[in-house]
Amino acid sequence: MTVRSSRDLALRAHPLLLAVLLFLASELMFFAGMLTAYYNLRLQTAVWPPRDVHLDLVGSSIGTGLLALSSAAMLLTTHSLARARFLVARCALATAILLGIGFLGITLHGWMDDTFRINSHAYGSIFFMLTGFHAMHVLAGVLLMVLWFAALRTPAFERDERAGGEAIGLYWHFVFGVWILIWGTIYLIR
Amino acid sequence: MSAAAELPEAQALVDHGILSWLAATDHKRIGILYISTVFAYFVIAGALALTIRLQLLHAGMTLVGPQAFDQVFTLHGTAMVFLVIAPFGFGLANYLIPLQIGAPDMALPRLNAFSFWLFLFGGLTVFLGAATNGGAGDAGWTAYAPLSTIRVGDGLGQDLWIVGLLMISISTIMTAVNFTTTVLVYRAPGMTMWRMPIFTWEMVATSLLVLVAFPPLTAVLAMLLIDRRLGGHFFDPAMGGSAILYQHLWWFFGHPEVYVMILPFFGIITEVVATFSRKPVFGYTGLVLAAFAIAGLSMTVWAHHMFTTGAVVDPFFSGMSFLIAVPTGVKFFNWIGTMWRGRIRLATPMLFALGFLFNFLLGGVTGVMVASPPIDFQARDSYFLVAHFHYALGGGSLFATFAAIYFWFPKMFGYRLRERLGAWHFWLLLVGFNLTFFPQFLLGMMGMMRRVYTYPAIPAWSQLNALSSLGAAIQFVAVAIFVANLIVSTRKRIPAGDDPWGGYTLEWTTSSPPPELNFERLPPIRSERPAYDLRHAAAEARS
Amino acid sequence: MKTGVGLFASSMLFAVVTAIVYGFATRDVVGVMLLGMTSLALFVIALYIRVAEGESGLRADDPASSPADGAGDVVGTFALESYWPAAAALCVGLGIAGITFLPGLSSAMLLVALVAGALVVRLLVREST
Repeated sequence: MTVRSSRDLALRAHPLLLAVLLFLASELMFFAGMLTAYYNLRLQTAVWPPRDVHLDLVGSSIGTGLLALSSAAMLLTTHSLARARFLVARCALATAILLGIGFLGITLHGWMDDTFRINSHAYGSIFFMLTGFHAMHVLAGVLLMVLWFAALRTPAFERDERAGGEAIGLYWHFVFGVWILIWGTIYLIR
Repeated sequence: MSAAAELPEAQALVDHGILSWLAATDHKRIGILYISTVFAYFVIAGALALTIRLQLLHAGMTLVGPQAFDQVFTLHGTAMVFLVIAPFGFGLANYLIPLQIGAPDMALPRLNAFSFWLFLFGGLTVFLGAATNGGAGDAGWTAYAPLSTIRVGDGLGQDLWIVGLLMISISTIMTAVNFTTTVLVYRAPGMTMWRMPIFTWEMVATSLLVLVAFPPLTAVLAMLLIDRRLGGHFFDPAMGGSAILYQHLWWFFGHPEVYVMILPFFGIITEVVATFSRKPVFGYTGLVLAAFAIAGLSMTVWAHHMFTTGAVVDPFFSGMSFLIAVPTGVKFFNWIGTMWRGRIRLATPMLFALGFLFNFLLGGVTGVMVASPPIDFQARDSYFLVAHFHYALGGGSLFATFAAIYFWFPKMFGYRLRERLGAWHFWLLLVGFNLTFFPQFLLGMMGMMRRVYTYPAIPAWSQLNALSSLGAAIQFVAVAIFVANLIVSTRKRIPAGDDPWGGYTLEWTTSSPPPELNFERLPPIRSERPAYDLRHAAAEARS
Repeated sequence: MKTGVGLFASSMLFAVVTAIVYGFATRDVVGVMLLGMTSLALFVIALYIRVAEGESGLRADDPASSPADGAGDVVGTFALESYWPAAAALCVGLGIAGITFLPGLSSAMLLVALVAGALVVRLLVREST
């Protein structure tokens, strides 16, 4: 038994979305802890990255590009749904999912290629922790998007269901945003 | 047309079976679940404390060996911090926030329930370590690396400690999300944020702290786990890691955590003091601003726990730590201002509130003392420090906990606790508590270190330790009296009615216990004292 | 929710200022990073609430409004009983605890636990929504 809502509140003020946003802010702080560790260790180490580390800038840039496009596809998804353009939304969501899977593929490939491990040195530990946790977040996002795709058989007009979709969108953009911070740290600033 | 409608007594909590508690999503039930669980952990942590005091009764006692002693104080600290004080605040807030803002429930009831169960399992996981071969986690509640990265045997106890805390961390963050969302979106019409009760405001500040300070805990715990289980080198200087990094990350969480453990209790004290002074809250705006000033500043002082490492800039942290005493002082003056020229009733909640004011003052002042690096260099890791934080958390938060229980128990269950037994409970606890911890200031100044399982047979030390242990025994009696109070009051119930104390906030306008969606009918909300306004409107209407 | 925006915006400002002062006073990267990211997190929240608040028109924020005005407004969706939270917590708990016993397999354990838990609950309990 639930008490259902029929109040005409704008979607963005829906409590689910607000809650997800607050959660995302806390996740940002989770990555902040890891990024802080990266910079702290970096400043204390003479050779950083260590000599056995070869960073694949090209591969990671491609991955970044895929994730960026995926985010754009997600924007298109939520945008179209708000305008009840259902077919476009479904195609955009499928694209977002595939691009996300592509990113995961590149990440995995990069890991297998690497000449160092999580237990090689402090750099290895923070590298794999940062990219590993991020990849877990990407995986979770892909799973959520797949579930949403499956549920999108009919256009979602119920406010609560639409809020759920918007929440997934927010999450996905967050995943991309955090990746920029991580990628910038590991591959650009080094 | 009474706002507090008559309802069948069985409505809110009583007529479901045990299993229904597993499926509970009502914030009131979840609040009660939290508080009950907290009480169970309190008893265990208290027993661990008694063990410590027994072992330290005389020099050279062999009740508990050094390895076991490490586990005892680790579990005591961990339980009191993560499983008692902080979750009591969250549990009480769970019960009260929707009632105080006029909402039917929390914004996300199922997430709320999830938070509780994860918290319960997290605590059990921490204690599960005690059943393993190597025993429970034993690196202190702070688990500094590299002590905590060394694996003795299979080291499962410490691992379980870490993952238990991970669960608790996630649970707490979810709770903070829920609280913040609820307060922002589900206030009743007319309940502007500046009319909310101080307790709710304190919980908003607390939730903010949790949102930004708990995730680094999750991160540092994960790093610890990686170092322990996956051969990581975060905290291993030989391979590029840093033990100081651990302390930074830990205390960036750890200091806000102690404010998470006091802000809700400031809220409790405010509500109790105002009600039993029969005056409005003095300086409402100041109290709100002070809460956020304290929360904000608490994020800037973390390395005052690291003065002696030589790795931080002491003056910055010392200055910020002195600064945080200012808004705290503002709160004290506001409470005194509330009592000034009030018609004070010394009911049990008020007794505990007054006890809080005395104890926390000592805790706070000694905090300012150790904020000074020269003093800290002497006091650090000594019993002076132990006494300081026990005065703040025990003398402060624990006393406020009991104030809250005596105050809101009638609302939650519909019947009263005995005042006579409550007074005995209070006085014995006050005497026992001070007898336990005041001598520890002296012991610390004389050089006795903390986390030691025994000490040299110096006469002054032995005497003071004996006094301290005697105090612990008295505290035990006090808590036993509290339990007796619970039993006696439940056996022969005295109905409480909607508003046994003449309270000010919305929860006192509904029945005790409240109905399923909290309010049959909400009164108009025109000030921060809607219950008071309602009573006076009714009185005027009658005259 | 204007107060909400003010709350997060001023907290963000405080964090930014402190990060800057801290950076100059101590030249320590840890504090600057942590405080800086805190201000970023608070900024994101403040921004979102600002945008959401503009559209919301909560009765709660109107000091002259009364509960009677809200009659007929149904407030929200509140699930009134569910076994899912306890089951989910058990699964998450097992999955996380599993890390200590079998690090490599813990994520698989988590998934299995989740699915198993969901199936068990579905089979045994008729859940009221």
